[in-house]
Amino acid sequence: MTSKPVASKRPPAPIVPAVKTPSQVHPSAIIADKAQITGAHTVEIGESAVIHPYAKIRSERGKVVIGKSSIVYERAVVGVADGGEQDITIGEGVNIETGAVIEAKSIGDGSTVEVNASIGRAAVVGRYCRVAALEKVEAGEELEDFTVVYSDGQRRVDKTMRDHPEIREAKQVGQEKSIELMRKMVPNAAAKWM
Amino acid sequence: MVELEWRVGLDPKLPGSARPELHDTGKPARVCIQLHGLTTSTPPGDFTAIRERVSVIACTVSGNPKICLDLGRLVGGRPREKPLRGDRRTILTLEQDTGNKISRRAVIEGKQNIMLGGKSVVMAGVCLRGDLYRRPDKPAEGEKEGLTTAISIGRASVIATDCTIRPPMRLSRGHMTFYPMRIGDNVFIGPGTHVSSATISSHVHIGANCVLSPFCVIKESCKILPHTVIPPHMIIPPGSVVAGRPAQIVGEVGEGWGQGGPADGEEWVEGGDLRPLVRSIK
Repeated sequence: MTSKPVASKRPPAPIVPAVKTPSQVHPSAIIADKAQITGAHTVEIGESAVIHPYAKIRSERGKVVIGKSSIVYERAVVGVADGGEQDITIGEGVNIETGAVIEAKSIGDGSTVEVNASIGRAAVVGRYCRVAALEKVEAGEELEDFTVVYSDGQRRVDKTMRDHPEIREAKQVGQEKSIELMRKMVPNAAAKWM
Repeated sequence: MVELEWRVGLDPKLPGSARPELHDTGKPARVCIQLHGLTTSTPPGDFTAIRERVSVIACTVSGNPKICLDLGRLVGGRPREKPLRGDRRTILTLEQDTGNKISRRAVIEGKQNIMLGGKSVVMAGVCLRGDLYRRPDKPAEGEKEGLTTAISIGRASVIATDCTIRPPMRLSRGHMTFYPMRIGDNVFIGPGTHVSSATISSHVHIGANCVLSPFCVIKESCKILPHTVIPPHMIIPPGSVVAGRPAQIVGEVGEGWGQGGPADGEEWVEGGDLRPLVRSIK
């Protein structure tokens, strides 16, 4: 045994949960190796969903469902940290950007939660909503479909999305293309959680 | 391919080291390069690849005195025409010229696609997504892939704790692609900001907890106040002060911004040369 200190350049240790999270991961989902999925409840990850490195999915307090074609970017946190039981359902085609904190009960299809936004407990976000960067949606609040939350708490309705279904479809097509690109760029370690 | 930038200084204490003499004994040489405490030893003709200018602390050359160090392409510079030669009695002490300081707790994906200028600092908790780079469409001639830089950061730039730097993505010719992002020299990026801009020019000061949405362009000598959210594709003209969400130009930096000495008690000045700040970190 030498006492020589080994100056090893260790990468940050991956979080290995004590209990493997019960998860149902669709085979076409893309989960990065450094994504963190923890918790005792089930985590369901839908078809073509993408989970970037260092995204945290916490199912300690309830089930987490991530819908088809949704993207959870790095450092996003999906899951309630404390308090009572609560499930979280994320719809299809939802974009959860970097650093967002989601404790909502549900997020409707096609919504976008932008960088560092936070959605409080038991909130319900409608379909095709958009929560701008750094915004907060309070606990228990309900956002109607097509709402935009912007500029330090103001709300408005996105009439373009509401009145033109082709724009919604265009958004879906854009989402599919993003996923196609990420399939090439992000090495998939979904097998770790299947 | 190792692309190291280094300068060779001869240790004046060694006898005969004023001028290296070349004696060819015909034996293969090994070059030991110490980088950040990690030692790699490379057989001739074979280099490992780190696409950043690292500070090479010491290099000992042993074996064949006629060492030919072919550095190939320098990061960000012209290709070196003449290979460097050294004498085995020489300990090539390299000046810590390119002193990038990267925290161990920084999270870097895709290190190969990230180019750091000299003397830049990446603090703890920073997430650099170099794995999201633009794939060239056509395969290049031969086997060489060509440079794929996702993020390039200039000299003396400081990226404070817990930032996220991610290349922007958009639809181009029917496909989504990531675009390379460029950050200039002497850029200070405050803690907790999310940077997804297309370009940030030099001498920009970005406050804490900002969000720079994809494809925004920030020109020289700007100051971005804390907690601003810059909407996508916004172009910020040089010399402006930007605040709010969504960001609006609220003023202009004065004429002498960045110049003049630092105030008493401070070592560096916003918008000016950040090298004193870089020196004082760690």
